[in-house]
Amino acid sequence: MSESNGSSVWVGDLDRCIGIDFDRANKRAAERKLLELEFDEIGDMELLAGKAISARQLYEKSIPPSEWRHALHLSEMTIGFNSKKALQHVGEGTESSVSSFVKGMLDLGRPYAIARYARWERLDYPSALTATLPHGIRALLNQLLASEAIPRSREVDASIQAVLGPNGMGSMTAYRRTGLLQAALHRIADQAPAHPGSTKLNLNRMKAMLALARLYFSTIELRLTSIEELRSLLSIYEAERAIARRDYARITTNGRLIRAWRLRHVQPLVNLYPYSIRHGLKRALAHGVADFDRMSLVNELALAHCGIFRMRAAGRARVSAK
Amino acid sequence: MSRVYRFHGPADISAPTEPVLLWKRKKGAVAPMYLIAADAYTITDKSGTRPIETYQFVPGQRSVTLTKRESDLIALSNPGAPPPVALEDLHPWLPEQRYLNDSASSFQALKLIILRFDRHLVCASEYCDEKWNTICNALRQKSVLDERFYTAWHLPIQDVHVLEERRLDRSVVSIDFNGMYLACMQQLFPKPSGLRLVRLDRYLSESEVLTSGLYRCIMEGPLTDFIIRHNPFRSFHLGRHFRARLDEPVEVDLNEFEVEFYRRHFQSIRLVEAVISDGVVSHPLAKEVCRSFAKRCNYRNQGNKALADREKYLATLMTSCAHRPARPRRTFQTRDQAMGALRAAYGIDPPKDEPENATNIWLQRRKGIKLGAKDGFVIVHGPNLRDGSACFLLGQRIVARGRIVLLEMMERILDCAPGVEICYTNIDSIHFSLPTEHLDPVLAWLKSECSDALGSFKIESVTRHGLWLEPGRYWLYSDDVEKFRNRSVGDQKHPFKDHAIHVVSRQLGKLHVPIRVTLRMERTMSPSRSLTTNPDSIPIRQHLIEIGNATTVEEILDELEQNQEHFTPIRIEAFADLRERMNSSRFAASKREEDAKIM
Repeated sequence: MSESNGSSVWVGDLDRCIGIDFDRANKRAAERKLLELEFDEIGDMELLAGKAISARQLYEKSIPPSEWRHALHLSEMTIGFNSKKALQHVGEGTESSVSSFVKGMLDLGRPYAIARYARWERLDYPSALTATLPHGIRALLNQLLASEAIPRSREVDASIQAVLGPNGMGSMTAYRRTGLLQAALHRIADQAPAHPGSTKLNLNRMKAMLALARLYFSTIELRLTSIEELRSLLSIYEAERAIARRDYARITTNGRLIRAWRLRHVQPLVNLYPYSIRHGLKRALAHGVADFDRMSLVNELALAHCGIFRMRAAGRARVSAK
Repeated sequence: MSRVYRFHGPADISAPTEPVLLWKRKKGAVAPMYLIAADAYTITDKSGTRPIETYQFVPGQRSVTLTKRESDLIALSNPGAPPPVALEDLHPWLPEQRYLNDSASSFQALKLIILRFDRHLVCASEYCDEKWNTICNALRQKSVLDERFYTAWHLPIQDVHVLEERRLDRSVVSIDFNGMYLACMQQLFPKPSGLRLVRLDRYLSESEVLTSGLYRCIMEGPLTDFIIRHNPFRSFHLGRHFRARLDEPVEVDLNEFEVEFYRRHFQSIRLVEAVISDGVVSHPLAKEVCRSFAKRCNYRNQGNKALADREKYLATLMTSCAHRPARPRRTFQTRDQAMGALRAAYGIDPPKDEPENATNIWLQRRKGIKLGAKDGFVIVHGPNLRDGSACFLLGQRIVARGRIVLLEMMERILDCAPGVEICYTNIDSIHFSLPTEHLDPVLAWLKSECSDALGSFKIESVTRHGLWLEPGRYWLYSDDVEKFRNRSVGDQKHPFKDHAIHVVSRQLGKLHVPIRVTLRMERTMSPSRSLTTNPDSIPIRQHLIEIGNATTVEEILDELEQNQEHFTPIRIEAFADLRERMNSSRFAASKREEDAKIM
């Protein structure tokens, strides 16, 4: 026995109605066709290192064409258009596409890297964020000095400034520069007449301060403007890690022995960046040719944006599922 | 259909309720000022001069320096501590003070300024509160329909039509209205407590006189060349305002005087509904701003620039003091609910093809309304349109009247001589160019009409040429630059500054961290306008991106990118070119002088 009303059919064998909404199925097929057309229209997007991605692949990773287009827009505006020489009239408006790309990628992921670093080092996020600002790290150091009751003077400021000082540190990693800051703080404590000396500095406070300082130096060394600079930074870290690996000295904190203590901390901040950005930078490093095609750079940055969008959406879904 | 509103469209109609009482604001105690001065190495206060590192924030007092430069120096030398505020920021009307680079003499200068002006120093927010209380006393209550005036079109006329006027046979004239908004406050306003919604659904008849109120109109068929070329309507999209297309019907909320103006520019105007009031009231501060304007003229005639500027500043505060709503936070379970609330309350209704992330980005950049997330909830932070904390009708009608005053003047200017071209308009000023042969009669006409009276206008400058990059960025020049503005970058002395360094203080946790920001002209140039690419077209014309009902996000993104790629460099080039010409002509002039001396 079968009874049909509208778009559902009674199927006796199953003892229930089965929807046969042809309209909806047709509509879906038409939409799908339209989407396919759009995919074909967008075509393949060239990436760096000879790689490419298609709109279809992105859609499978739940990035619809409209979102890709928007990411592309953000990326276009960041990388800028320097085909014309006009901007040279006005000072520093002339960044090449590559330097805008490198800066754009590093800026995009920085907040996430800071948050991850803060979690890893058990720092609170506002302090971590403060530490990455040039005057923020000084604010934190002032706070430390105030809580140790060491008065600020021009000499104290100068010796801190000398360590924080922007560049000219050559091949020194953030880890080593933090060591210099630690030494400077000890010296200041020893020289301060009212302070009992470096051995009496509050341990927890110093630990947090040094972690913040390392974050500061790590963000400073990521102020890069070319792929070459990124490559040399990574090779400095590789060399430093090789030394640290041979370093069998065990450092005790809280009475525990920890092997390769230094190795844990000798890491560029890039390692804490979201994957979408690290993959993009990896492709840029693997790009064999010296000159970069602007379009590939734009696509790479747009893809990083999409990765971040996905990550944020996943985060939201996780929170609301709780 | 193009829609012209503050955001995408109208808000939902709220259920009619009793009028709400307007709330007065309580007077808060203002912390006393603690005077301090600085140079690069030292600070000076009442207890003497000492190193700048020893600056300490005194709780319960406001540290005040004379100049912004000094407060920046203190902030940069003492990161973490709350920086002092600059007197020139608190009271922008004070005579310009120069940074002296010596804290002891700066301190003397600061004390002198306080001695001279102490009784004239009023705190802006306190002043606004006081004037708002006057408004509350006069109006007592408002209808909730007042919220319509918030969602209605709120922008003043701001447009650039020409990039540069360099033709030899033409001149550039700029005029400015005197106290535009103060004059607009003298009109009558519908009584806020008596507002009611009426359904009209008919075409505007020819000789109809409309009751005072806000009419939802659908206008069709632009008739005049004026309205097509100087189309003032703006539609909201992707966080920006673009030009609304006129080849499709335009839906817009207009005040009765605006309907009156546009009726001759459109074939038909359909009135859908209206928020009207049978009673009318004058602005509670109308008389007071008149007095203020009279005082300002008086001070100016006495050569007291500071107090004249002070009156101007206070009058500006009075025009906007009814528009300071409470901004509560509302919490929602999901983003969809939050977006639904934004649509219902403010008419924020992003088109379907706008990606969620794009919406997030422009919503986050806004000051007034914010969408945030905390602990898995979605938080909307926005003005309360329905309580008694503000009355939007007053401000909206002031701006709307200003638009009409400016548009009417533009029409008259275009008719005053053949070959006149409007180059630039901004709130209360119009720059136009015309063939020099007609300059004398036009100036004679303008001079016969202009005066110092409130609401009249004055001729600001007559030059041979002009360069207009975008609203707020122009240079009017002949042999030398005579009048210029360079929004967010320039100062009053150097016409060709192309970047500015600001120090902003950001509070993170307990620490106040100074951040140095460099604003560059090319980075702050809006990509919303294109330029004519036809090489035969002189002058080069500017066109704001035009959008209609069917415009897609993709089309807008394409246009923004193209404008940024092709036309920002042309603007920067024109600026650099002018700078070069002016510098070389100045060099030539000083050389001539030197030669003359030798002879």
